[in-house]
Amino acid sequence: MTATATAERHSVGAVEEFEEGRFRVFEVAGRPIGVVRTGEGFFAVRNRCPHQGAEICGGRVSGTMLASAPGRYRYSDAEPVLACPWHRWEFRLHDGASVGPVTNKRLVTYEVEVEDGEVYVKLRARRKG
Amino acid sequence: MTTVFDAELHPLIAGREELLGYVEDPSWRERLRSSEFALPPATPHPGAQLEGRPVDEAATSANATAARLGAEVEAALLVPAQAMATAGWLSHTMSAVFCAAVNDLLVAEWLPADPRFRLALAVAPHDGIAAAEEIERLAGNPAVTAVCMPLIAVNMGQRHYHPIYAAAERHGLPVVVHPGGFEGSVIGPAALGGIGPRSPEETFTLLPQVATANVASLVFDGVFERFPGLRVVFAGFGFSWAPPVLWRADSEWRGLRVEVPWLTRPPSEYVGDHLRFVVDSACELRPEAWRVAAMLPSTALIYGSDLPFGDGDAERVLDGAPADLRERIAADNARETFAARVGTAAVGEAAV
Repeated sequence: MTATATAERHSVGAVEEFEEGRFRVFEVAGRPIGVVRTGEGFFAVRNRCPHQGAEICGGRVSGTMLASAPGRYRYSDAEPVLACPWHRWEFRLHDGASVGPVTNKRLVTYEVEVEDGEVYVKLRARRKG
Repeated sequence: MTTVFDAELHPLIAGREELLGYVEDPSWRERLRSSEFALPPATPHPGAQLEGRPVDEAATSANATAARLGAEVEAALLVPAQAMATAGWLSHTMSAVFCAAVNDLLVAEWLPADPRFRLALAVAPHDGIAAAEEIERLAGNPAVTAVCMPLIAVNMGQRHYHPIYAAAERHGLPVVVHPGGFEGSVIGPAALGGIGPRSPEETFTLLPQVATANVASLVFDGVFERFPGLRVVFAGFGFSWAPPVLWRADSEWRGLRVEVPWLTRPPSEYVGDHLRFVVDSACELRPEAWRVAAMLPSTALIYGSDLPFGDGDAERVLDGAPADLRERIAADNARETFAARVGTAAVGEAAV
């Protein structure tokens, strides 16, 4: 899929084209970028796991287990994560940080804007958090 | 070498009758005397454990053992090896009675012999509540510096041990685990891979399996999240196997963190903070092993003489150790490991 550029943001399609929890990958100004719709909104990430370079957008989008007392589980989908299909390292969609963290490396994330039913990816890599 | 903290010295009790003097209850005295006929022939019993092993007589004398400690020894942790055999006994109650008698004998006869002697009080691991009661009974003695126990087939991460950990943590006592000699037998001690019988050589070769299984269990079951003050010392299991196990543990944790979300750090970091491995003369002391030692957290290794089964020559044992680790292994790491209790009694007095 190719994104349509208007000024510094790139359109990647209409909201209804995105199935919840399933990435669509675009070539945006030469970069492979995945965009996903979740219950928490839209997210965009570079389709490259910072661990070993896997096409991470083929991985699972879900909630995750928060730090908990030994023997107990605390599942939360408030902050959706993307698990790499190769080694299952998880990265938070909203800032690309590793869950755990199991690594200091971050998944590259991009800002997404939705306007008049259209989804836009802003290209400057966002590294907040 | 400036100073040595000996974290593994084995006091021996000469015979069953010496021990029975510390069993108050006459019925239990009788029970311990007659037990050899009640237990299966292959099962070690108190009498056999005390009398079956021809070691030099000095090892059964507190004064003779104290006399052979060099001036460089600032403290020596007494780890009663004979109590470790209880892992193979059928009677849990008898194991507890036996351990209590061993502790009372050492408190009465060994601790007064030299201010450098510190006691790792023996507990039988079969019954966690009884073991915790034994810790409470003796923890008030300032020379009690650790708890020691053999390992049974229940891995150390299990709830079974929580009363022991809670009592040990409450009193600042690291838990020393040591082989009992019956690992891999079928009646309760910690398992080895596959099914025996095996030669003693095969068993000793495979002992790191027990340590590996229990390191993994302690870390992944979150024991150190639950008992953040707990330290566990693996004595008699060597150390050269540990780095690859930690590498693997860290690697598995990264991918499977959701299975053990209570771990907030890589497994190897828990090991650096909570686990220690004793280096003694029975270890694989070749140059390659020392290179492996340098791959462990710098806090991980502590020296033990293994007397009377080792020669107690720390200089020789640590000869090949990396220069920056020698003092740490010889004394610094152990001093820090047992710090909660070594400040309270006579450690170091002998050197003054």
